[in-house]
Amino acid sequence: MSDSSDFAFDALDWKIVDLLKANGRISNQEIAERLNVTRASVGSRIQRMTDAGALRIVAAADFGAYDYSVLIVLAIKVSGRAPQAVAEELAALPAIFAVHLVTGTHHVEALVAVHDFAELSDAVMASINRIAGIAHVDVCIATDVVFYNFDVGIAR
Amino acid sequence: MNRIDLDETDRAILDLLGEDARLSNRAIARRLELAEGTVRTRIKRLTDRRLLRFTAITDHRQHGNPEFAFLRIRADMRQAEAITEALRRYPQLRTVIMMLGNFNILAVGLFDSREEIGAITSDLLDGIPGVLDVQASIVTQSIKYNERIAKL
Repeated sequence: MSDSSDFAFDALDWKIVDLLKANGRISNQEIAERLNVTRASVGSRIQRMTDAGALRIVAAADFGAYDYSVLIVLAIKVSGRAPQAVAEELAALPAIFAVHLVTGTHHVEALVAVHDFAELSDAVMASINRIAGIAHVDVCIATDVVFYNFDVGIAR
Repeated sequence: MNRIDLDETDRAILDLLGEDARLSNRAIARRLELAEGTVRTRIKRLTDRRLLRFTAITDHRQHGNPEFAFLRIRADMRQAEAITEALRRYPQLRTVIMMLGNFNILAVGLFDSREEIGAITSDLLDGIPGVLDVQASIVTQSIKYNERIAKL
């Protein structure tokens, strides 16, 4: 994983980022015209931010576009094994779209998206139950997403 | 999250854009053997229906609020509406999900400091009627986050 913490966006970087957040498909040419800088400068700044792991331009699809209709939040307690090793095994499961190591009453937070409850029990929970070191899984079913902002994320 | 009928062409376009959001309409058209106009129309329809969004994701540490935490809230659900309205007033909270389970609300936020997480936790408990318990889990390491799928 690259580390962007030793690198900070300057004012021009932020202006480029703001345009990209509003429209990830805006061309470098259009950004250059709007900000009155050269296209080469826009390209090199986007490249530098991307290489540092601080920026990713994405096409995000709604859960519904892939017919994901069930969203589950898992709080996992680990015992007798490093939580990181457990988290990495969880991350390998495609239905688990987010895995974070946390402090507090449990060790791992994981978010799961599945098409239906059959998939949750047959595929996801069966796979989770095979992972060594999981002492307890607290399962919460999302009933409503009140708001969801994902444009600030983690370094890559 | 209702079922939405997309055909194979829509999915194929979403899959290619998921790999590279900056792929041109012309390149998508060539790879899928479609007319460029078809690709343009499909992308427009998907974005208009809020099934697709092009954006840029930035490392949270660039925003000056380096602490990332999950707050699990146990609340009196008869007051759920007033509670979610109150949660909207905290710019630190980026995502709020209602749940069935041990806790009824999950709030995911970005914070200036651990002190701020503590202060907001106290504030929710003291200031919002119906909030019974708040448990904060501070992220020490993010292992995976697939931002290709989201609630748009």
